[in-house]
Amino acid sequence: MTAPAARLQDLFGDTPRARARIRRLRILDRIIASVITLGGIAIILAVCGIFVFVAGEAAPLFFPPAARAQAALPDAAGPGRALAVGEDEYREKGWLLAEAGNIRLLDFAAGALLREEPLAGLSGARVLCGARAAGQDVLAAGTDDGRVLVAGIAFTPVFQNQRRVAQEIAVAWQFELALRPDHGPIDLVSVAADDERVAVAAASRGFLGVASRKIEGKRVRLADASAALGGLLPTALALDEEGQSLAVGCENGRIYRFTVQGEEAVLAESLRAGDAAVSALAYAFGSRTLLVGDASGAVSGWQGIRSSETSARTMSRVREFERMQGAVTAFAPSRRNKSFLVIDRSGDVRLDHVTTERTLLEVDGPAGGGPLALAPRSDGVLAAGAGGDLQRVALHAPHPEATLGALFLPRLYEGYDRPEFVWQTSGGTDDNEPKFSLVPLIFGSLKGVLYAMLFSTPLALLAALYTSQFARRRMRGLVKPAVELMGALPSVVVGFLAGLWLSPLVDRNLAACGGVLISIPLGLGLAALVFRSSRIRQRLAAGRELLYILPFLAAACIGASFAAAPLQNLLFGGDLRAWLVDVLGLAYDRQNCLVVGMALGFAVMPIVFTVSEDAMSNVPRSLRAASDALGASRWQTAWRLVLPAASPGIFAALMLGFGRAIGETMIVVMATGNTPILDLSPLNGMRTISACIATEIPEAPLGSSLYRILFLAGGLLFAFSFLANTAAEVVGERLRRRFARW
Amino acid sequence: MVASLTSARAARTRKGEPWVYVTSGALALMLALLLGVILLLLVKGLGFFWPGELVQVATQDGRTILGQEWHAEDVPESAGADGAPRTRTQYRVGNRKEFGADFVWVDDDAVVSREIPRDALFVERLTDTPTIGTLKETRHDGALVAAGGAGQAYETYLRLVEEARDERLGARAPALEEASRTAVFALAGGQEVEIPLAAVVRTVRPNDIGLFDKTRVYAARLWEFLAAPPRESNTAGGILPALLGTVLMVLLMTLAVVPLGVVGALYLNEYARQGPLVRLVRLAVSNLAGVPSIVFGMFGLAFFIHVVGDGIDRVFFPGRAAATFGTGGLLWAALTLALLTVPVVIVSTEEALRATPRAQREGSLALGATRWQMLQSIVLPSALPGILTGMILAIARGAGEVAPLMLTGVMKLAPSPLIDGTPPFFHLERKFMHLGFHIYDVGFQSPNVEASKPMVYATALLLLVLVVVLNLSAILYRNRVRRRLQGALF
Repeated sequence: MTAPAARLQDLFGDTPRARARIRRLRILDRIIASVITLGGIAIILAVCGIFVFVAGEAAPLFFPPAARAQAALPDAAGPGRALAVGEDEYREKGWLLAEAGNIRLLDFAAGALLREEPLAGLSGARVLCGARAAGQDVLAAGTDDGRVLVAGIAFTPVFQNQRRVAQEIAVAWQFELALRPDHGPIDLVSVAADDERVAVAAASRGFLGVASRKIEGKRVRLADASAALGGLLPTALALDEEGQSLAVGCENGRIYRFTVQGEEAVLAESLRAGDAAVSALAYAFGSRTLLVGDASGAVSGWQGIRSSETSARTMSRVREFERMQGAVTAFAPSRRNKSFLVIDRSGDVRLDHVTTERTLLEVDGPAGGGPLALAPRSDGVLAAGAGGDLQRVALHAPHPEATLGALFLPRLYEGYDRPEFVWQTSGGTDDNEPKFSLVPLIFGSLKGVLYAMLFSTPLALLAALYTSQFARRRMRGLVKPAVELMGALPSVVVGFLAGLWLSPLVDRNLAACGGVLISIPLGLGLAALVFRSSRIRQRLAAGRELLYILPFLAAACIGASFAAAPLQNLLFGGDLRAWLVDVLGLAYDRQNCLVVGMALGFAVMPIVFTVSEDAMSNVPRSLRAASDALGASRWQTAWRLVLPAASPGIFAALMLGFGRAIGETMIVVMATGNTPILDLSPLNGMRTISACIATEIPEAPLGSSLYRILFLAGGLLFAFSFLANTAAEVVGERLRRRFARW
Repeated sequence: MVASLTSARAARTRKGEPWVYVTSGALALMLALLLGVILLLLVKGLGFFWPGELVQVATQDGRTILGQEWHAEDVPESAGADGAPRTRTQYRVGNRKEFGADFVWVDDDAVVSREIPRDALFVERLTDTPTIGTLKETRHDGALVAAGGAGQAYETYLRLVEEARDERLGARAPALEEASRTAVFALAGGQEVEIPLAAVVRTVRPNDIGLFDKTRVYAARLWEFLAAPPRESNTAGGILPALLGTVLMVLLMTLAVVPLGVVGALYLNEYARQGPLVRLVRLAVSNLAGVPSIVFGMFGLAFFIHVVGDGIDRVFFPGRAAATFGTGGLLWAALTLALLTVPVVIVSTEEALRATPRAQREGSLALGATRWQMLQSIVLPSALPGILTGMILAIARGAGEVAPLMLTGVMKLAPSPLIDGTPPFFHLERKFMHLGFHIYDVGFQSPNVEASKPMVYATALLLLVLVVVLNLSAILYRNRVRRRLQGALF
């Protein structure tokens, strides 16, 4: 056989080699088919899964908090009960103040008592009451001879190879404060401390005193306010974190608030909380909200509210929490957010959140409603029972502040006088509550879109009408790539020009820039008037309108810049900006919506132009020919026929423009000033969702509420633009089908 | 056409004619905006490298100022009774360390005298703002080598600068503080400053050199801009690392996006059973092209960095304290942008796949080719132009995107280069610099905004040129291929 014939035989003949080859090909084909199918599905799933993933990152915001009971220490407080408890941030070691008069250091991992330290200076007296400071492991014990014994507990981590292996616990210091000169008993005590100072308040019938001292000092400042209380029986006591505001709840259902300064405690306010005796008081984290619980089980939050602009703040009952079953016996505020634990006499423990007034979860605690503590990371409860037992519960409530209400409804925040929409994720102080209202961000995004569309839509649509209906072919061939090029300009370049060039320019020449915005339509109107005359038109060639209009535009711009200064002097007293602020009450920002509208509009214009131009030039020739044949002018054809016929395409163009504008990031980051405000004025800025994500996510700790809320905002952004794009696509599809009929 | 009609008909057919002019005005405005932006970038971006005149002015209050005229404007709220506002000029005087500010404003009516000193020098330095003044002394090891700044003395100075630079670039580079060669400059206002010559990048006598020399300085500065790393916290020097970062990132992105996009399109168009589901998927994919880029950035952050990256760190680098892949880096940024641009490639590849004539496909199958053989030898070659167009469009979109990078690993000053001598030489996990982010960072976060502005304009121009060239090539290529394909259809 000759060689080619052998080759043919190999290829197509029924030889073993050919069969093997064909089998190989089939196998290859099948492998590639499955690879491409799998790969294709994977890629499409990955691309489409983005939304699911982004939304999934936000989902834990709305997971219900969880609690899990941990091994209890049945006999931790020995004979008698515990008066104050605390633990370290890793929940490994803890302490309690026992009624017997000693501090017990506990090891939770082993479930055992580490050691007992006697209260220094007790010398035979009995301990009647105890308290711990909010945010500090400082305890105070009130004795039956008018003294308060104070002790500080220190936790020190033990490191090995730069890794923490254990936590050590020790009583770091102790001292005593003699509060009652008459050596009467102290029934109630409250303590506040920071790293340097300790302040203690103590009360019993007929006595109310405050003492403070530096930990490393000797001098004690004593203030006595017994007179203000008269013969009332104090039933609850709370000193704020600075030791400057003291709230005393009494049997008659009233709260007396004192301000403490040095050696003076002055009655500032007397508030009526209800009929039942006030049974528990505490300041929430940040000391701006006073938590009040009474013997009937009502739990409320009070904060300073100004009733009018000028008046001073008075404590008002602004928050109502769910009622407890029995008398409220104690609070334990969180050390990192505005949530708090509350316990009642029957032992029900609840975790509530101040700002949202929501009950995060409920757990069963020990009967008797003994003292309790929320772990430093708000991830656990330590509660002492009447029988000396100590119960531990692990909590998981990482996002107490995130509710749909907090994200989308106005909220009364601490330091504010009425409910407001606020986005403020970091503040000057550590105890500043992050405020996560998405409304200002959504508003800002829509505001940016509004001004961008106001600027770009008329220009882009009219330009598209001209290009598709009136311009010569050659011009069209130049204009379309030019506009595509405009669309390809990186938005960071546009944003930079807007922020560093346009914004100062507008700032310096506000009147002239505003003038141009008015004079250009005027100039175009004037041109329309001039070109009404057919005698003038006869001398001009059709299809070159672009050239003839240029002088009018130039004249409008030059006229506006020259007329700006005299007109400003004449109408606005020489300064337009001041006039706007004084007369119209508009706030003026250097980075305002005039600039943003132009920059964002610049970015949006190409897409609106291209899509609507396509729709307009795709209007079937037969329709246009029919209109011409009926004697319509070219303008009439364009205006009455092409525009309505292409209107779905124009809608699609606007939708695509909307989608582009709402997601634009770099331009708004650089040109808007990024202040989250709710104000539609064109003379100030805004903060958009996209800019907020870009600037805040690098700072947001992984898994924090801010991180997840930003992902929620990202999901919203995705949904907005996806809806707009889908609407555009669906309508565009309908348009194609409509034209296909002709 | 119109001429043949009667005048009454003509009047009617011209109804609304003025409005045509108004619509043309809209187009004119749009084009003017585009042209304006490009011209602005060209002028401001390219003008910066030109060695500008150094002007010495004396003011009424006895100050002497030597510097470049930078900016002129009306004094705000100064319009007097006559209506004409006063004007003022901003001078770039350099010597930030000595003067406290390297830009000063002078009211024009306060200027007593204005001259252009021939021997004024503009000395660009490795650190600090430029020194603007006149040469007074040149020293070597503390001893005076040349006094004055004219003629021979200036030559000596230039020679010593050369020597100092050679020494700096040599094997044993001494610290700037212990440099032996120094020069003393007299600044405007009588102050004197001594600077080590090793720190001198370039000395220009802008008032004394001709057009040719100025052009040479211009070219040298332009080259430095493109080929040198930044100096003085990004306000001077070049942008090489940013350029390199951009190019490498785009390269990596292209490597990822083309196979992904082509496989996706092949599946959608060739392997998937056509039906409502595939139509829906197609709709979703094309819609994804319009989803805000920042959302892709969030996905990159949450998925690539915190899921994949953390996973890699746990498995391969369990001992390390700092995250290796579990933090932003080149690889993650490139993959994020690949996801962002994959719809572009899918859409244009699908278009090209669909454009392959049915007859050719069927002919190939009729000859007994398997599906893959048909795709490989008939469809893919004819779809190649479409794939390439999609690729170029993806690159153009990817090169200009900044927002997703801010979440996935871009930095203002990358601590270590992407390519170096330690294995594996090409460090995908490192943070990188990017032209677009450079614009944002230098323009808005810079400590010396006024001095860095021209750098930003130049960078913006470079980015613009990059993106426009990529886009134009895609457009032109598409047009050519379209024409060729049209020709092929009989």
